Amino acid sequence: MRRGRAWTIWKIAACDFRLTMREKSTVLWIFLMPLAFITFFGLSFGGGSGRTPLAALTVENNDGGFLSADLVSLLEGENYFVQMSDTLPDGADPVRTLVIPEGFTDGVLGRGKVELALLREKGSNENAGRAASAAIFRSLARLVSGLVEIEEGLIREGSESIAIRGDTLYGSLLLVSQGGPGMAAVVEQRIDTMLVRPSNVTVRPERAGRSMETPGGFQSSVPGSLVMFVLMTMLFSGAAITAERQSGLLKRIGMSPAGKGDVVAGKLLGRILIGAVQIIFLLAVGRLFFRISLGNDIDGLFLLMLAFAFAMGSLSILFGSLLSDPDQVTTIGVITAMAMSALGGCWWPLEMVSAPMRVVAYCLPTGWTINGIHRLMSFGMGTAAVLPHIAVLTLFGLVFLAAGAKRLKWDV
Amino acid sequence: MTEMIVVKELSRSFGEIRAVRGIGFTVARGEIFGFLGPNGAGKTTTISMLSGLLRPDSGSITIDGMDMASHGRDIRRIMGIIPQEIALYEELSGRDNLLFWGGLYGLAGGELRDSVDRALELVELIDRAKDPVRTYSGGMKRRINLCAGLVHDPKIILLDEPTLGIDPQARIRILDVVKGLADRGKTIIYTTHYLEEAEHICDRIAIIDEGTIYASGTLAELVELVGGKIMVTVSGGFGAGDVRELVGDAEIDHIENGELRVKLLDRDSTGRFLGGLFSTGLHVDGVAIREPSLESVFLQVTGRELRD
Repeated sequence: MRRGRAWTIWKIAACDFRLTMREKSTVLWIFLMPLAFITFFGLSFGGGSGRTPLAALTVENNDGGFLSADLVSLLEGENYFVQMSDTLPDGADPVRTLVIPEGFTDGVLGRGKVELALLREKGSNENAGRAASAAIFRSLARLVSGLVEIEEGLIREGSESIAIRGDTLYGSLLLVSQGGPGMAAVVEQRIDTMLVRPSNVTVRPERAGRSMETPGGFQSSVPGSLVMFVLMTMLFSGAAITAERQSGLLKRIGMSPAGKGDVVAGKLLGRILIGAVQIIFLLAVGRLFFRISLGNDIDGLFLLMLAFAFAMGSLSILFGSLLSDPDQVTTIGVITAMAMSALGGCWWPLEMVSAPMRVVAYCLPTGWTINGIHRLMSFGMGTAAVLPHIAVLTLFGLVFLAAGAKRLKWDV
Repeated sequence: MTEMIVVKELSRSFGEIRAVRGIGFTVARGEIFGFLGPNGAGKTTTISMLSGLLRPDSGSITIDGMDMASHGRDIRRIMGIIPQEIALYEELSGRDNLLFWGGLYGLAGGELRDSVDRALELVELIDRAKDPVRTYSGGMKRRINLCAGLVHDPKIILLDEPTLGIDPQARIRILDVVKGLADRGKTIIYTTHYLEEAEHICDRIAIIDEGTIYASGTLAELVELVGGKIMVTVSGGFGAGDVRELVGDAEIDHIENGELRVKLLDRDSTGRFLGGLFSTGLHVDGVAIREPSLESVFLQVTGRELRD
């Protein structure tokens, strides 16, 4: 028994899929180039899984005492990339530097006046500078509160070198440490014990709502490259339609029992399959090798990607119908893909661009796709949050498909 | 004889160009019906309408009792079309191409594979079946192109200039296949602008030019149209009056200053006419003699030579 229309559509789709996968350039454009872009842009924007990179703080330690070493340790615990100035490579120019003066430890232990300096390179990030100041204050507060606690303990123990008489504090930890052999080590050990103890009070910063980490690094480069290269693959595949029109293949298919509707459906399905392979590959590589988060709603991601592949496959048919030369399709396809990617937020976050450019982004399928991906993958939202995106992408697809089917001619 | 294809008053225009102008013909089951005409005569447009690819502006097409307007898909299922172009996927093997084309006609599984094998054997390409089509010679590509239209064992086969641009040996192989198909009861429409092909394989021939069928029938019937006579064309520096007396009882087809075309009964009368012509001392540039053939029929009915 002979098969019906669904079989015919499948044969057309499978043939297109097979032909695309056999081409050597396919390996380059579907698999290798996106990986190169993901790696390059991912590393350029911080690498990792999208965590905000640590700000750098250089420490010029002119003090030889243990308290300055403790201060540096506390700063490292503040999520700062702390580098000592004497370990900087030659020619390296520190962005911000904390200068610990000579005699810092003795000054603090002796309750004297000690002045730290935070030097900032002109033009350096103001927010990071302010955050560095806050981190230094927190570390100093931790250090000083520890010293006060030790002082209280020593006073209670009846130390001769430190005592309260009336309302006045006499002596200091410096005197204690100088009070006899081994006393300096005792003070240092007590401080160290104090500092490794968990703080009684901590502040945990969290973002309001359901958001997770701000996308950056690979968390940003994987979706951006995915959207750009799927778009590029789809537009390039429009050249295959034009080539079939030129060679008479499409006309011959049109002479078979497959009507125009079957041909368009088959071509679309083939392109969706090609897009699906590329999307699954890039998301899998992103998850396994670049450790990106796919979010909490795989179903929503599947629906969004399906709508995106549908819109791009339809655009491919429109390109193949409108243009009459495969080279023309390729050239215009590259320009279109680049423009739609840049404007749609594939290259940089839309939050960085002006309000009018954000409006432009949401006039393009790429803008809706990128925003939808970040909602799901970066901000942990669910399917409901991307239903408008899916609807808009489907609408884009239907418009492209209707125009492409109407303009499709069997030959050139 | 059962009429497999009935075409009535078929017309199709492209803008101002009237590609097909109210043609009509019938083709019987198992018959090879040829369309003979130069490039641009309307042959491919007619094939495109018969295959359902183009909708006629007017007229009707009935195939195997089904009207094309309402049963296009059903008709295309029983029809095999071999287009003028080599319309194949060059990167795929011959077998994979046939599997694709057979699949488009609804074949699947073992039935599809068996049909492909039969078609490959028919055109003697079974040994090269696994090679990509791009590695085939021009003749082999033509044969696999033919094969792609036959894999689903159609009742009706439309061949649009299937021997275009191939060497004589490859042409003979294709014509043998076409004749074999007709022997198996297939109904065939064959378009060509090669006179000898039409004479060689067609049961009936329609002479088409400028979208109009000027004449149709068997080769004998068409030759009869020119009276089965020898046509002699003489050109030179003479006036119409100079040669009128020489013609005698022969039938003048065309006469003007510098050119004379006459129909003569047989070779003897042709010899006598030419002897008389040369004995007058008139300046003669050239003489062309055409035995009764499809070429002379074409010239007679269209007023121009097929190679014009």
